[in-house]
Amino acid sequence: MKTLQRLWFSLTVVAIVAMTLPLESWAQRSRGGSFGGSRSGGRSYSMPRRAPSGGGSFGGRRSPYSAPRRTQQSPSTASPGSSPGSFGSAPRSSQQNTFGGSRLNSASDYTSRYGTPRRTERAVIPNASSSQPYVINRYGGMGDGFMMGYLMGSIPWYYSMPFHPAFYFSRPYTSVNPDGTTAVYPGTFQWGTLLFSIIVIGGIAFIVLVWLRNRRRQLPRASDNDWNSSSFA
Amino acid sequence: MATFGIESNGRIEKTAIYYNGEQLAGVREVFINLDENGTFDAIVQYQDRNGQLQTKQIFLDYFDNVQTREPSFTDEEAASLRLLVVDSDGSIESTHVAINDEEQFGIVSLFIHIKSPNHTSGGLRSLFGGQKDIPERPEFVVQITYRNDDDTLSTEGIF
Repeated sequence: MKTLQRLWFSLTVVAIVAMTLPLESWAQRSRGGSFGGSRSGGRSYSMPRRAPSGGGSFGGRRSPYSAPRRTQQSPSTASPGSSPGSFGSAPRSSQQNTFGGSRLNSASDYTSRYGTPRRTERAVIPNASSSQPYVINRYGGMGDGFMMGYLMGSIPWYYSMPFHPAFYFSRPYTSVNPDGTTAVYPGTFQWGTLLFSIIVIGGIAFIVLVWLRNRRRQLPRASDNDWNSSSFA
Repeated sequence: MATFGIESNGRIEKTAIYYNGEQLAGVREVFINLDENGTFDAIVQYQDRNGQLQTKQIFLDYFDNVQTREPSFTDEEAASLRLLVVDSDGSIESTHVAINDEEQFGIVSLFIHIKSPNHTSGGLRSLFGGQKDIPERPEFVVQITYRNDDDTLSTEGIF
């Protein structure tokens, strides 16, 4: 019982620490995208290109080999041919899209796992910087509903609260189609988030229960007023 | 010579401890065991001003950092209480016991054990096991044994 309590408490502490870390961005970086580890070689997010002369960024002179500063393009304007990535036309899979979700290497990353969408529609997002339509892939379910919320720019505060299902779904995924349009896929259920939430909430509940139990175990002592006149503490 | 007094109605919540005329505070335990054969144990445990527990021999040691307080009982309240005073220099021969200002004679033994219950914190540290505090019950035993004129012994509670 004692060992179980220690284990519970240690797990809770670890979970609380872990929740404070930017796990989502780490996970996206380590995956090199959102799905599957097999395409990790396609990461455009790798070591920055260095000038042949070596050395750091500071000091010396600017050499003609220095890498051009890359500006982030909005999904609607990005096209495979125009992106001078390190690996040819590979999309920037590690970057976030405008909805806070991940940008896929290709649509097949999503469809290979979740199948073909039930319905595909083109829509112009009102707040998007470009008037180019998005290709919205609908799969139904909760993730689909949340995706439409994100697309419309409606992200209520309670989406980031653990009592709301949206907390356990990732943000929509996007990928750039060959024709230059951006495909949007619904967010997926995040089991890791659910697990961490259960551990954290369970840990807090456990601490509260132990605290209450200890309080109940304390001897019923006369009211403090009675002790005001006593020399005993 | 030190004077140690206990004023109470028999409940620990209504018990005042006096040392040389001052009322003490933060007392955790008082243990006095005296008998005519020479047994002389008189110990007090209190929490000092720094929160440390101190254990002292009542009639021999200096009370370091002891907490004192204003007298807690008014004259009217004190009228309903009993006052036990032990005046001693640490030896049984020179010990005088008085109850409500009346000196007592023919005492065979005096036994006092008053202890307040400990209060476990139950904080986060308690989650890590270790030694569990066993809740203690308050202790309040004050007994005096007299030898009567017919050489019989009678034991009475003082409070």
